[in-house]
Amino acid sequence: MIIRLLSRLVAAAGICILVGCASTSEPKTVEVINPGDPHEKINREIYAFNKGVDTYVASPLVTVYQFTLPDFLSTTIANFFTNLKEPRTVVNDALQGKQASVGADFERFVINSLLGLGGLIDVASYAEIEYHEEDFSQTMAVWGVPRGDYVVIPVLGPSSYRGVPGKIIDAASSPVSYLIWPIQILDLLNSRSNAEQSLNFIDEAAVDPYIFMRASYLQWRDFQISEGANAEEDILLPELDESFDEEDLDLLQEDLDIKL
Amino acid sequence: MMPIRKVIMMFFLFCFTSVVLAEVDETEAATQVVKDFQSVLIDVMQQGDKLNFEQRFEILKPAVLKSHDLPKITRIVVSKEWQTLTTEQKKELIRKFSTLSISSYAHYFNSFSGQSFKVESAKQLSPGQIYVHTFLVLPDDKDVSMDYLLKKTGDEWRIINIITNGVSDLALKRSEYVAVIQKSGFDALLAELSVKIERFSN
Repeated sequence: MIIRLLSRLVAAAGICILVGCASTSEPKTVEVINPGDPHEKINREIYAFNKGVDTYVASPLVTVYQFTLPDFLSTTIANFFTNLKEPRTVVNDALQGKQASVGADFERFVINSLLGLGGLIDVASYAEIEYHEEDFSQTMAVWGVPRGDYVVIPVLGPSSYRGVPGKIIDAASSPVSYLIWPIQILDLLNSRSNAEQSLNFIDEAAVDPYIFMRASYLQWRDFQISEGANAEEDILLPELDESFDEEDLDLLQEDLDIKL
Repeated sequence: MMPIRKVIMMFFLFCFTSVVLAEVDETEAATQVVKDFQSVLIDVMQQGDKLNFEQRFEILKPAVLKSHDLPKITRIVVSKEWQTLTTEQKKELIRKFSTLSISSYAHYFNSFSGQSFKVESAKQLSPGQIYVHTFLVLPDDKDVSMDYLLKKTGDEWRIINIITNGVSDLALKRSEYVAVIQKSGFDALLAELSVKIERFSN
């Protein structure tokens, strides 16, 4: 069962982190620890492992999945699994005290389950009831649980101290965890297929994919948790107000010939 | 004769109104910079199937250079490492970073399927900074939040940061570029940027 697999993976990640902490508590050589990512060394190793799993296992399987399934069928499958996430969203809406969202998300779930043939058709979107996601990690953040350090979980990817128990509870409360294994595999393929564009974007745009993933993941989670309210604050970097010296000002005014 | 209290009140009212109107003018000017740039993007996307990468690059180049403060962005993304660079290295970095920025627009905004931009709101965060909140409206998907931070350079407002669904481009690049310079040096960063430009252009 996927929940068992997830629990083992998370436990393995926890052990790895503890081993990482233990090894750094007795320094044998001088090592610079990044205070923003104290587990960077082991995180990078797990990131490289995940990248390997993705390149040699997940990506080929998803290529076959996308090639064999017609578009309408993959959309139908995506709709089905998205609909199964709605109860989790409704529960977390309630735990976070978002009364309006509880109603809208519950309405979405009922409409898609009844009129959309068990969630296969996203009827609610036609009725302009917008989809949004909430998970237990977000709920803990709203309750004031600090995020803690950034960690990369084997196979599952980026997370944080707060995100690890969040993932366990989300997996335990997901209906998919209690369905037969072929459906769980289908869910994994669908999730990886949906992430295709983002992963390609990282490959294309990132100078250091590990840092790109870490920085974008942490900012994106803050954005989700604060419902977008953090965006204005986070962009005010201290460097924006730094003054430019005279040489810089000359340089900035120079007409630089930009060519391909 | 008008009582002195009334004169003072009118004076303050006049001052307050002038400040508010000036702020509104500035906000409108900054919003217009974003709107003009977005209309060029839509235009390039609409011509997507007729243009190759080089043609999109040439159309976008003046629009990006006019609307973005690329030298200032370059300086910010390398943070304190800027001070360690020679003048020639600074110039080379600005050139390379500017080419990369235009190339990434030319690469990603290459086709049209009904997308549009919508300006939601704009506000002055401080006397020199304006925040414009927009959405990229996708016909079959959830709208993408695309916000712009503009700073005044001389008399003109220029884009200095773009925040897509809460992810700040400036913060993201700064984390990466500083790490590369510290780990592998300035030349390694330039080489990485060249690889990206090459990849976008193919």
